[in-house]
Amino acid sequence: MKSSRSAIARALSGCSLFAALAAGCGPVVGPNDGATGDAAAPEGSAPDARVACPTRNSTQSFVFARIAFVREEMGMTDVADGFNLDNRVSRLGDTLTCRAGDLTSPTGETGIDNQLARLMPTVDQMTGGAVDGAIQAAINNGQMLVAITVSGIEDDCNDDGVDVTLQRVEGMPFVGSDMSVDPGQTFDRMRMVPISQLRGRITDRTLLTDPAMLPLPVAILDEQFTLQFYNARIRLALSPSGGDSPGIIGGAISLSEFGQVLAQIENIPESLKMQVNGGLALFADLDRNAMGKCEKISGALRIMARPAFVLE
Amino acid sequence: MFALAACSPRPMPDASVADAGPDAIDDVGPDAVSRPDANPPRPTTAYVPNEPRLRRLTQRQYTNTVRDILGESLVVTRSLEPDVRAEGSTSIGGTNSTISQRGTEQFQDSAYDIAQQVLRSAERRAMVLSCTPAAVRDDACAESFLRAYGKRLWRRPLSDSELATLVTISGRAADALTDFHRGLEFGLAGLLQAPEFLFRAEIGTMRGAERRFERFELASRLAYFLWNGPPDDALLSAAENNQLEDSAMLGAQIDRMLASPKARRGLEAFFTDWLRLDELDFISRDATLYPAFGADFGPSAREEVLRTLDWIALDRDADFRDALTTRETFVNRRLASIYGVTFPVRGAPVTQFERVEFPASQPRRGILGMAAFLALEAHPTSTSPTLRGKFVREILLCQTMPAPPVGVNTAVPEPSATARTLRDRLQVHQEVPSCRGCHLLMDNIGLGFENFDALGRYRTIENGVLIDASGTLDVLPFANAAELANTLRDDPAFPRCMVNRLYRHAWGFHEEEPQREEVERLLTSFSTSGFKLKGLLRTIAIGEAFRRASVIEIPPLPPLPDAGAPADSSSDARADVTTDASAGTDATTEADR
Repeated sequence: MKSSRSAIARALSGCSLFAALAAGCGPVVGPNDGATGDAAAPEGSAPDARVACPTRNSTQSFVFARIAFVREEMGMTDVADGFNLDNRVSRLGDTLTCRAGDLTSPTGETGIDNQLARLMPTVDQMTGGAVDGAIQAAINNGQMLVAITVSGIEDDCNDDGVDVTLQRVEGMPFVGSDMSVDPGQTFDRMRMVPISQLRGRITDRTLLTDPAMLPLPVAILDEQFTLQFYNARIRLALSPSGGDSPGIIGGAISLSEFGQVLAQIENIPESLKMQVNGGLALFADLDRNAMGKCEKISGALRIMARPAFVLE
Repeated sequence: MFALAACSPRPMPDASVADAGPDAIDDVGPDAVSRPDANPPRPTTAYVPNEPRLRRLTQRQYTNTVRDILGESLVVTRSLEPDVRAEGSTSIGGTNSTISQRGTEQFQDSAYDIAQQVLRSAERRAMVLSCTPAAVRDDACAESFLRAYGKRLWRRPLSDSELATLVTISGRAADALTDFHRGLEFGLAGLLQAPEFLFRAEIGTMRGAERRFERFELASRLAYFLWNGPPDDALLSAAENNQLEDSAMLGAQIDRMLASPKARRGLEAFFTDWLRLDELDFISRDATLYPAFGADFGPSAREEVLRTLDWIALDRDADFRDALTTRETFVNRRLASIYGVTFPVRGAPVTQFERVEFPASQPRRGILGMAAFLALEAHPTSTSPTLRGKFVREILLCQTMPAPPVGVNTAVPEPSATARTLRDRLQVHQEVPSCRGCHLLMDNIGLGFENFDALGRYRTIENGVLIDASGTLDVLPFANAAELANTLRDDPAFPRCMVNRLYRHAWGFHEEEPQREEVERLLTSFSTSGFKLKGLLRTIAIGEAFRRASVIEIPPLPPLPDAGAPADSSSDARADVTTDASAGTDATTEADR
């Protein structure tokens, strides 16, 4: 009985860790006037490109309703979404990336840095494949609500400069029958948690933030942390009808910082901590030091943002 | 053929309908054109009151009565004889309802359950019993309780024989159970399942050539109209002292009642009945298409409407037509998320409502922009311009729309490449002659709400196509729901319909030609006072017509078996509700009434 509980706890601890990381990392944006799309289609269905770009409010907020680690595309090795964080295309054996080769995005973009996509199948094995569910649970129970606000929007379709704010919010969310946070809800900003300010631009209704360090709020079980996400970028396809806005967050995680966070969490078994740290070190691909070791690992999170309000 | 003939659209006001006058709108329905010059006044005949009736308490009135009198914390079962809606009104239904055998059992069960709650709890017992029983059987103490609470529950003093019967029942039960309070439960249950409790007598007595409501009947009538609950001690006392016969003193009582928090409850009963808000408990939505729909949606939507209308009518005492055009509303966090407005209070529970404004960027206005209407008048998987248009015609403008002809396929085609929006798909209605007439009148209004999905959420796109929310209300075009709301606000059919609805609510009868004089008087008063609903309530309550029933012969009640009173007392009890046309006063009812 004890060993069974321990195994479950181990698995859940691992899940929570990744879940919290994921939830903490989520940012995004999207213009919206509160309108939804076609009622005949599920709320949040993909926007229709034929619709003209309507006038929007100059400021819009969203909450991350879904977050999941990006994995390699089903049946397609070395294909995964993400960003080219180091602005170069690395091949397998590249010394600058500690021999890690870059991936290619589903749209054919080369140089994608997302080694976590390769690590995730292993993590799924270690945790029984429960990572994404744990992420969703952390969002849905209000533990890890992250809002992103895009302000200074002058043109919803194309705008060279917008301000992007990423912040933790709180409140018990309404969760719909799609098991995601309902759109349009009002959340309270967590005043004691720092706000991240970013700059970005909108191109063809897609928001892309400039590379920046994102301090990512993390909640693991009852513990709160801030994990730095280096050289982070956010890409979000803004829904023209106020529906769901899908996107990606990519960046690099410092292995040492992540190890420190892990070490502080008492409920995670040491063996699992070692497994996670070992896996991260093995797949690390960025910030090679003088010793020839990479100190950071690239990764990406797939997000789905929904319109929300943030009460100061 | 009938539907076609009845519903043929008329692009211009029709003289024959206009000549028929305002009442014709109700009967002719869609043929009517509700524009200002379409309803010229016509001569009225002298007011003829409605018939005397016994009006069964609605479930809400039953609960309010029990809780007002015996304690707010009492649990009242919802398994009671269901309310009957007749001609769109539970008030009219209550005027025409009896009680089924099953309903009788339910009322009996409920009566004993309430009696037990009251008399088996030491705390509650202390609140209602003013005496301490000297023995297992203490008739004096029982009589004291039954006299006081009988008067409140039956809304009139009990006759000596009625009281004696109940005291006897209580005493015998106490003897059998060797417990005074258990015995008294039987007396209290007797009060609670008696017709005198379950029905409101609006019989009246003949005074000269008129049948006028007896003073306690009037007190009860006022209380259930303005409070949807029983008369309080002050009102019963005023009745007892004949103060309701004096217009000034009656007016003072009405003003006191309208200033009471219970007036909110009374008005909410009207709004709930008028707008069929009780049906919000039973709506459902496809969980795949509308994941945001949850169990709290219906109650939240109802509360929003009630709070907003209360606020307009009672708190602001504003022009009630604002109910159609206001951007201000009351929402909880659930509704705020649906409307896309910020909920203004941090950390608020879902039960907390706050006043907010609909987004200025949306054509959402008034009650027709609220989730209650938009969701009630929709299907589980889609909106329904037809239902929404029908609601406007029937509920707001009091125009009757006939049901679809028998055998007609009412299904709307599925979306296709050539018909992507519901507007496109509804074109089928325009192409079938037997559908076209009525659907033109409903759909052209209902399409104005297509910017709101079946949950009430704002949308601009349907199947990738920008939504066209334009339409026409009779001959007047509108671009969207906001313009439609403005048009409806200025439509004289709306306040007329309000008066009609309130008349039905107050009287429990559908207004007919003999009552039109009173309806016209009320409409004039409503109009000249700036369409203040509170003023209209007062005008109704203080009006001479509110105190009268029609002069008809009321046969004496058949004899009833007596439960325990002396054999000759049953006839005495029956005398309470018989009338004496020749007396000219209510002296023939019980001496202490």
